[in-house]
Amino acid sequence: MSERDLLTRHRGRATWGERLVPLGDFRDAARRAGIELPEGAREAARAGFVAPRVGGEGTPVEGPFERVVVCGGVYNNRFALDSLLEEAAAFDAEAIYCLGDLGGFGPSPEAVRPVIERGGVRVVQGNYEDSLASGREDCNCGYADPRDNHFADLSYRYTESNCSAAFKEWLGSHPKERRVRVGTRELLLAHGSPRRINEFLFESTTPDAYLEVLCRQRACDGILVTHTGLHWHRPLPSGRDVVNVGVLGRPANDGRREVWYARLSAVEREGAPALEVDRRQLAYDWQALAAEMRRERLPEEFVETIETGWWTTCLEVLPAKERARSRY
Amino acid sequence: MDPLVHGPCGKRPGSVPAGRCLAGDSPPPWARGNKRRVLSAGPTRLRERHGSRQAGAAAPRGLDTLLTHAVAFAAASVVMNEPLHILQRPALPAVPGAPSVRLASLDVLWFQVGGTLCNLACRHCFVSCSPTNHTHEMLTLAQVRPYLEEGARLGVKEYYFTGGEPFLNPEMEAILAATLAVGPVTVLTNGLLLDARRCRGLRELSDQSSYSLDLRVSLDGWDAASNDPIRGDGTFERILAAILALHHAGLDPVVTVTEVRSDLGSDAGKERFLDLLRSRGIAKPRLKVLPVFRIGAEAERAGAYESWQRLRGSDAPEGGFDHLQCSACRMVTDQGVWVCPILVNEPSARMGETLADALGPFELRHQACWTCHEFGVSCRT
Repeated sequence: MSERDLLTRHRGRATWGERLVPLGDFRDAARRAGIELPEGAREAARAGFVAPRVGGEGTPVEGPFERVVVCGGVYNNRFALDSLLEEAAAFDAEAIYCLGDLGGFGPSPEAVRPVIERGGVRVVQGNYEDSLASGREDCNCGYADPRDNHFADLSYRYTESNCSAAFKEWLGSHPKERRVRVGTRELLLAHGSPRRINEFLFESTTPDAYLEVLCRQRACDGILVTHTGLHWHRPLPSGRDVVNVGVLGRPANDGRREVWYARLSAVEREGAPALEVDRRQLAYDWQALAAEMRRERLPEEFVETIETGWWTTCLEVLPAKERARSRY
Repeated sequence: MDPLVHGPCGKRPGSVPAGRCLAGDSPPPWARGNKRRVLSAGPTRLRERHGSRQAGAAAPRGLDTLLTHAVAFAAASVVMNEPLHILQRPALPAVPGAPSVRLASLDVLWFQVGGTLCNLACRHCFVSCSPTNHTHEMLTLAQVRPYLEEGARLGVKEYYFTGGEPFLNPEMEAILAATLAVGPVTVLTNGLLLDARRCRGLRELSDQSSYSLDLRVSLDGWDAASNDPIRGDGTFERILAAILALHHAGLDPVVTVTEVRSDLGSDAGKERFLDLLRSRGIAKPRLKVLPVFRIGAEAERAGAYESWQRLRGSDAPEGGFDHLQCSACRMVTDQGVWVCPILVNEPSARMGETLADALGPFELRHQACWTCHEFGVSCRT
């Protein structure tokens, strides 16, 4: 077919699959397809679609607490976990939570367990715990790009081959979500999101309206997640809060070596109970971590991230704004 | 480990800058045999299973295909004066036992904002868009707004705009501004209308929002010789100029390649695209490869689906079809709400007038559904 034929062939016609038909025929057929609900039924359909989800009612509510510390993604970084315990003690935290992904990226997976147990850290399963405990062949991180998956795969293989069966069983013993009361707020703690363990909730691609629907569906006053590696806090129009607490396992792609976690406190604001969210930088012994990663022959790209604060891998998953801020 | 792909020590060449390889090291045991492919595995899997097929070669056809030919001839009276080669199949094949997919959540709301109107007429376009294709007209801001409001109530997470060519729409920037006020946006464009001034305007829109504005620019070859026969004469350099204009405006686009040739989506092929972009000064090249859908213009270019290439109930994985993008998306055109961005030229894929009408399940009886299932296609970035 000539270029000119390609450009002009549709005059007065519609494409119906591979056929060309009179425009009216296509539109008539389209109008006949589908359903047109009465307005009342449409309202009911919309309400039903975002109605509170059944399930999770049996999850015990922990607390109430006045002060808690919440971290995400340890990624085998027991050095940062050590520092977190010190800061939590200084803050007088009543409970310490970790939102999952104890393994991956860093060295010596089983070495985090004594630190977790010493600090009484309450763990939520991440995709790493889920994959290792269930015998999956991959981390189920949720990446779509082969370049991201290449390094995710190296990371998972290392962690998987350095975990005993007993350790994997311990990883799988943690719940996939928790409910915690801080002051008057009942918060839902999950790894990726309350609806999917590997959902990425980035700041620039997570709309308020979506988060409001999630909170209403799960009947909570706020949500705490991790998984993306980047921290943010969104006070919602309804008064709820959603926080991505960041990760302890690698810096936040900001050119700094520190990692991030969150402190939550019950406070009073203008005479009413409120939740204070304080995202904190955490300094730790990154030289020791980098040295051990090299001893374990982990990819030099990973070590570079620890030493520079810039991500060198798993970058393709980043949305436009987050990618524009990154060095690579 | 393939040294061509991963380099001598397992590092993928060029995949990260400043990556270092410890000379003389052999990979540690946990890194050996790391050949798992994810997105790129799809097309290879198909070829391995069923043998390769040259573009344009006639497909072997079974008895049921011959029967559908007979039906198509009977239907020919409604499409008089058309050449026979586009009358290969009836448009609405009945598929007993076709499985259904539920809408688990409405994560992605698509808008056919450019209609089926395009300033190009690419030979692989599964929607057969062209300057004269008015199957779907452009959407106005006034048409888009009610769907944005309804989508927000239903918990939409991301908004996607496609066409046709979205930037032919005279209200495109106003539509983007309205959408970026409520959520993140991705625009799929051929780039030809994006000059430096317009790119600066897009950057301003992006800066005014806390949500991401992502652009996807289509390119189907590493040079004019491979791209232009698909997308049109002279398009290769014009597309690269648009990619650079976006880059200079601080909006690095995702270059989207359709796998019209098997080598485009191979690991080496992807690396060649990334090298091309780096050679033009783009330090952080972004790339997405999509398989072809053998419908629309692509069916004429390279052949339609084989009769066996359709989904049956027995294809359902444990947990159903929640991996398909239609379990989490809907498409708005000027003619209502459709199940997905692929099937807008199939009237039976129209689900209703409002999103509320379109929250029910959809029967996976179209052959393009097979491609999504088999290759794990997501049109998302």
